[in-house]
Amino acid sequence: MPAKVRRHVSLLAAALLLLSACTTPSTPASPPGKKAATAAFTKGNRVTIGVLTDQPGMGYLEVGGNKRDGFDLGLANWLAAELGFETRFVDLTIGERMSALTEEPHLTQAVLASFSITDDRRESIDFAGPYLVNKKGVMTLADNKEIKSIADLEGKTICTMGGSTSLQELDLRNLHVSVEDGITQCIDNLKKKSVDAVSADQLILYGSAAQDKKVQVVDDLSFGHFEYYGIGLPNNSFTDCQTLTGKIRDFIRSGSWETFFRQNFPGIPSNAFKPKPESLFTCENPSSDADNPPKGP
Amino acid sequence: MPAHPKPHNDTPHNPELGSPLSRVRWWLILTWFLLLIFIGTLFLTYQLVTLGAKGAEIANILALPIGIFTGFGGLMVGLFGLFRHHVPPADLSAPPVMRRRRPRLWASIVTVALAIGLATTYWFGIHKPDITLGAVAVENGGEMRGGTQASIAIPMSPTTRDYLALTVDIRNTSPTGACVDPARMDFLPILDGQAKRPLAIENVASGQEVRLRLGDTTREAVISLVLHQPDPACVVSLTVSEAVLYN
Repeated sequence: MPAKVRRHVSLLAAALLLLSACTTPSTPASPPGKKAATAAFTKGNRVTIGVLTDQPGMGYLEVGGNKRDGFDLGLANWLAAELGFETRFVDLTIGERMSALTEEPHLTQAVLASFSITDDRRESIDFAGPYLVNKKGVMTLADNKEIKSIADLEGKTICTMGGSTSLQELDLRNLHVSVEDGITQCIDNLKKKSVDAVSADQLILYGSAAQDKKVQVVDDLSFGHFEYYGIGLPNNSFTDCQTLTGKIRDFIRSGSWETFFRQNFPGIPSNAFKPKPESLFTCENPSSDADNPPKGP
Repeated sequence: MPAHPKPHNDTPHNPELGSPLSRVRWWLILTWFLLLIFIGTLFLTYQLVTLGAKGAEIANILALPIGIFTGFGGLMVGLFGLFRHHVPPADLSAPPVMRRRRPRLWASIVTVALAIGLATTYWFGIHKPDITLGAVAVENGGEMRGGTQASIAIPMSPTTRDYLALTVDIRNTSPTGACVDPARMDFLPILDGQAKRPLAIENVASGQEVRLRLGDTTREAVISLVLHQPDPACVVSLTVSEAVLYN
């Protein structure tokens, strides 16, 4: 390259650098008080993911066998294979999911544990997804014919998990609630008849009922908000959120979603639980207001 | 030791225009300057577009100083070039310094006066600054479910501005559920009592700015709003976070 051309190329680069330094950046590093997290889901990285151990179908750890199973685990491994990161699973209870991402230092870099996206939770953490859509359901003993609607739960004791949206929904209806750490304890209490019913997301109940013939999921009884399951991330994880949401879209479109659903919930129609890939949630970008450009003339 | 031959320049030297080398340098500097201005303008325009109504207001404010600066600067450069190459006949009765300065001084005064006059006329006569509306209420927007309707009355004097930039925020009234992200709104302007369907804007997310044409409204402007919410359990409230009338 001739010296003159080289000099001009250098000058152009310097000028562009100077210009970018002098003008207001469209995406400043981060506003005051908000620290953007560095991308964790990258090739070669080891990512700690919080998972559940007592939810057949969603997240389950075989006692003694050290074998993890369920839709959440399948998705975590699929993402690891797609993005090239290594997984290190950390056992969590339902009630520990938020604190694992909010308390410093973070116990996990992500939570993939039947974790419902709510507007309230989005104030404190980020979510990628949703990868499943669920609703609240009710489980009773297999021979129970009394509970058929939400009104039938009046005056009954319902077991649910602490820190779950089920607990919030039942509280809003002023129902009598007994709180446990996990679904297994609730089902044990139901079988011991110390509670009348168990409430959780329908897929969690279906997964547990498939393992235990003494209990049943009440047909056509669902209530509350849609439960959009997402991958929980520490606040301001915009880059990871974008990466994971894009991959979840691929996961649904590629047909892998259907395969995983059939494997984990055999015999249950998948349509009601499948999110539309074009309607996944927007990742919150703390450093830009231009997520949604203006509409109109 | 033989003496080195003294280098010499074959190009005739013109003291008025400078050497050919310096002229090339000036052209290079000018090209670089224009290139930077071009890139900077593109960048600034992009920034302003992404800012929505705020961008329009900033552009209006910037128009005044940039207009004065470029108008004045351009005229000065032109006049400087003119007087540099076409020196007027000398007034032999005036002292030597005054002979050169008087035309430039007058040109400068006329230029500044012209630029200020034009800018003032534009700013006060033609340009209309944005009007930010405070406390715009959403009627029936307190507790809305999917498919329900609300309305926003725009407090405006007739034909004040041609456009309205409106930002409506959706809030979940319950601690459960994800109701904000999946919700969408359709906006329909009802101008002087008539629904203007061609001006409707659909599928707007919470916090997303919409720009509605008010056109020749003479009496009243009401924006009708329909909420779309896939979750029937969701109850949300709507508030106007920003409403700006602009041209």
